[in-house]
This record gives sequence, C-alpha cells and structure tokens, in this order.
Amino acid sequence: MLQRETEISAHIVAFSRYLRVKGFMVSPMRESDALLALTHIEPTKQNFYLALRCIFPQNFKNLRDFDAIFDKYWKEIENGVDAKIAMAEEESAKKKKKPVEKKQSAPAFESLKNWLYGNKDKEEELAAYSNNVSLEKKDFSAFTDDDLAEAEKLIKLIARRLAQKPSRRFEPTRRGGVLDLRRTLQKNFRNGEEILFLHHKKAKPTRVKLFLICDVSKSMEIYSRFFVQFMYAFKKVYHRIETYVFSTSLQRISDELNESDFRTALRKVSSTVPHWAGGTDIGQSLRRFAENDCQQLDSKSIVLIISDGLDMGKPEIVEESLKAIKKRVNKIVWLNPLAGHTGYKPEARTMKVALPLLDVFSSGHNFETLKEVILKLKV
Amino acid sequence: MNLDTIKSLLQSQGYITDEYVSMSVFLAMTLNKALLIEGPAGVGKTEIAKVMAKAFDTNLIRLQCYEGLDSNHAIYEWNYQQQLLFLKMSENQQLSNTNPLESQLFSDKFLLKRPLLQAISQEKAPVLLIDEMDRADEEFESFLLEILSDWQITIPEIGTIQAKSIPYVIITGNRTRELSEALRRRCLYLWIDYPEFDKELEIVKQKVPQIDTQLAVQITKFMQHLRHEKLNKVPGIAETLDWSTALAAMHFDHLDKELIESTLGVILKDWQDIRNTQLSLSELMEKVGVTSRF
Repeated sequence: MLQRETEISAHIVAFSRYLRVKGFMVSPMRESDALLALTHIEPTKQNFYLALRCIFPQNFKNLRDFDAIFDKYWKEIENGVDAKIAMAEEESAKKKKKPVEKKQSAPAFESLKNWLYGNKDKEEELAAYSNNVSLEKKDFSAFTDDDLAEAEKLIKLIARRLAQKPSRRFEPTRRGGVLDLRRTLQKNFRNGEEILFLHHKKAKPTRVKLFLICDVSKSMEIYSRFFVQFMYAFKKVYHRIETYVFSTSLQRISDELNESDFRTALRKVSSTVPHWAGGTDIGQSLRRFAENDCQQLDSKSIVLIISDGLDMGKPEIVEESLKAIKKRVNKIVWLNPLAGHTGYKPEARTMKVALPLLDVFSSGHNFETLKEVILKLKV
Repeated sequence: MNLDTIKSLLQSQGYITDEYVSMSVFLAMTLNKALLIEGPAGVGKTEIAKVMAKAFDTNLIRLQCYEGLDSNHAIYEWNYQQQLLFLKMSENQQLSNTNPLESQLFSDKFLLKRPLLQAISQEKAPVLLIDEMDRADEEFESFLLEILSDWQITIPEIGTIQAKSIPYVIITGNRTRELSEALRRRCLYLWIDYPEFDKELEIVKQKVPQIDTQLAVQITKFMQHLRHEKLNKVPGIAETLDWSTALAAMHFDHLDKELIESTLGVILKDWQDIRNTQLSLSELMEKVGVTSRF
C-alpha cells in the first residue's frame, strides 16, 4: 500500500509503537490510515497534529491522554533524542518498578488464609459454608488461581439468578411460551403458503446491569486480589457488567479483565492501575464514577462497592456522590470485609455517612456471605 | 475535495465547527471510515450528519437505535400482509402467467427496505446516521460490524445485494454503554465537548439572528459559567438556543435576575438543579458581570 519509506513514515511507525506502550490500541491498519491521511492534507504542523489526533484515539480516555503523549514524543525528537532510547528507558523504569508492585499485589499467604477463613477463629464454620460438594471438600486456604473454574461454576449459578424478572419484551424460544404469530407467518412463507412449523416466544427476562467497584488500596491489600479474581470470574459468566478498581483514583478495568488467563489479566490490571496498594480516596473515586459513568446507570443497574471505608478524603464527598449514584440506580450494595469481625461497628467517618444511603450492607468476607449478598441482587 | 472545502461546506450550512471537527469529517470521508462521535447530550452530534447530508446534497438515512432493535427493523422485512393479499388475489385469477408465484412473492415489490438496506442501495453515496448506537444491544453491534466491513446484505430469497455506493457512516453515542473495541477499531473517533465561549456565541448569533448582541453575550457567558456548577443535568447548546430564542422573541435586550429566575426552566430540566441555581444566582450573576437593577 505504501511503497516508499520516508523519514515521516518511519516516525509514524515509531510513534504508533510509542502509543501502544501507552495503552492505545493501534492496529497496522490504523498506521497505514495515518500515513494515507497525511498525503491528503496540507503539510502544516497544525494539520499534522490534528490528523493524528483524529486517527489514533479510539475512546475518550485516549483522547484525553493524546496531547501529552504527542507533545512528549515530538519534543523528544526535536531534542535529538532517539525515540527508541526514550522507550527503552521507560520500559526499564517500568521493569524496575514492577517487582515491587508484584510483591505488593500478591497477598501474604497467611493473610489470605485468614481472610478465607472469614476472620473467624473456628474452622467448623467452613464445613457449612457451601453445599457444593467439591468446594466443600477443598481446603479453602488453597483457593488459588487454578480453582477459578470452581468459583466460576458457583458464580454461574448465581448469575442465573440475576435475570429473573420478566420484561415486556419477547424473545423466541424453542419450547413453551406463547405462539409467535408474526414469526410463524414470516418463516413459513419462505417455503410457500402452508403453515408447517410453529414458532413460540416468551417474555425476555430483565437483566441486571452490574457495576463492581473494588478498593485496591493498602488497607484492602489482603482482600483485593481475591475480589479482582471474583470480578474476573464474574465477568466471564455474566456479560452485563462493568468493573472498576480505585485507590486514589478510579480506573475502569473491564477491558483488562477480558483476558483468557487470569494471571495475565491480573498483571495487566495491576500495571495499569496507578497507586495499586496505595492511599485511599473513596470520595474522589466515587465522584469520578458518578460524573463519568452516570450515563450508563439506569433503573436496572446495581452498584456494588467493595471497600473497608477507611480513607483520608472528605466524607461529604462520599455522601454527595453516593446520593447522585443512588438517584440513578436500583440498588447500592456495599461490601466491607471488616464487618466480618465480631464486634465490628461502622465507626469510620466514611462508613457512617454512607450507611443510610446503602440498600445492602454486608461483609462479603467469605463465600457464604458473598453468596447471600449476590442472591439479593435483584431489581 | 480538501480540508478547506469541507470546512466551508459545513459553515455554509450554518454549522459552526472548529478545525478538529472538520478534520475528523474530512479524514472519515477520504479514508472511507465510519465516524464515531461521542460527547455530552445536546452538543450537536446528530447535527453533523444532518449538515453533512445537506452540504453534500445527498440523502440522510437515519437508523435510531433502541434496546431490542433487530434486523427486521434495521435491514429489511417482507411485507407479509401484502403478500397474503397477493396470494388470495392470485387464487381467484387463472394465472396464465409463466412467472412462478414464488419469485413474484419474493420480489422487490414486497420488500420493505429498512435503513441499512436503503443505505446500500442508493446510487449516490448517502449519509448513514446510526444514532445512539449504545442503546442497541451488543448483539446488534457485532452484527452491524459485518455490514460495515463488507457492505453487502444477503437476503435468502433474493440473494446477496452488493452496495451500489458506500455510504458515509456517522455513529453517535451517549456512553450509556461502552462500545466494543471491535467497533472502535473500524471507526475514527471524535469527541465533541461543550463549546468555548467564542464558538457558542457565534452559534447563538447564527441560529438566532434577531437577537440583541448584548443579550447574546450575556446568555453565552451565563451558560458557560452555569456549566461549571455542580449540576445533575448539564445544559447543552440546544438549551442555550432555546433560551436565546425565547428571550429574543420577547424582545429583551439584557439579562436581569428576575428574568433569569422566571425562565430558568428553559435551560435546566432538573428540579434540584433549578433550586440550587436559584440559591446561587447572585454569585453566578456576579461572575457573568450582569448588574442587577436593584
């Protein structure tokens, strides 16, 4: 398609690579689009910038980041620094950071075990937690990535419950339901005028839209890995779901979780999320959610927040954003793993203001309570 | 066709644009890609398609998406009432016609063309507006991808219909749902935000020519500041224009507190927003620089 490699085309290719490092989805097709576009415009600096800005970003986040990335890249070129060096530096910086992150994101075995035992002293509790035989026998502390399939099975059962209420719309069905006259006539006329086959329809179930928002700050460290795993499993079996994590700022991770392998997904998530296992600002994060994603919320949505409610931000902001969210959704559910402790009182300032606004408040610190909560997720 | 022509064509239809928008439209047309437009409500996303159709003197075909939209409503449908009638009628007549009944039954005569089929069967490339794509189901989205890449539609009874001309596709979204990566990959992305002061003023003057200049400036300033307030529903350009038209029709030449208070319902559509704005009105007016007469 493009025969002559000029300096500018080499730069575009390098720039595309740089964008990929920054998390843009840049296909080769788009690179060639960019080069083609440049042949159609007046070669001024402004036009060059505008054209690339039209071609490369593919969503709002990309667009917001684009200017900074563009400036940085071309400035470095101007400074005579090879882009490859810049990239290499950044990558090595990333590598240096990574081991630390990894260490932080992998919870200590003991603490994970503690959590899985539900912060309870006795282990008898465990035997009764589930009626699922294979999981019942399984030592819960060994609940690792590989047991995801089991967890998925359980979540699948749960997910089925999420679509129960019939809506006013119909969908075709093979068995049962009422006669769908329209489809029957339509299909049979393909073969002539005799009616040979009957088609049926039944009411489509109303499907809940779920928004999972998980706290991955330092104080939640021992739980967050499991909950990310939980989100991952949930996302696999249930499609109407958006997933977010936050520490000091909110990050949508639905796309990152779309990996076939959980380890890859987790690595992706922890590298894209700034301040993984850092400080907490629940208010700002919820406000961000209320402002940016409120369009997605409707009366069929349920927002599920997983956080311990310990943060440094202003409780008023939490209250305000929760109110804004509550107005648009069917239910707000808050899971606070700390609530599993006997004698837990919601004394954190954030928790205090949030409690009156919640529809369901629970601990969700073990499978039993988690299941209980999820069964309540009905619109 | 080059960038400046596009720009002046859009301008000539009364669409005030900036370089970024016209560049996006230009590139989408030259590269033959669909243009995915996102942005807050009421900033003129749909308007672009309408203006494009007018500017290039071609048809605008609109597919309004909603939950439960299916291929019957998007592509084609057989007109079975008419088919039935035709069958009944042909029963009574002795058909000397050698043309078999079936091929008559499934001919163009009984085919109801829905927007997508209409779009690909036009001689001159039309503008195909797929409005509020995010409201349609995900299944429909992936189905649409197929058409957007192949530009052909298969009807079992007739065969495959190839596009006579490739339409200019405009897809708009309100972000009620994140659109899939696959769709984004095939589109150019354009984000339209609330306009800056100068642009908005120009729009007001263009769309409401009878308005007093001072009033236009004040209204625009007020709207600019109002959007920075914490609102449940931020007013768009449509609201600015409504307000301007209303005030111009009543022959006002400047804003004052009473006037704003009594007409707030034109720009704010949420009870709480109106309440809050009324409470902070003096402050807002100070920012805008409107001096109250009292």
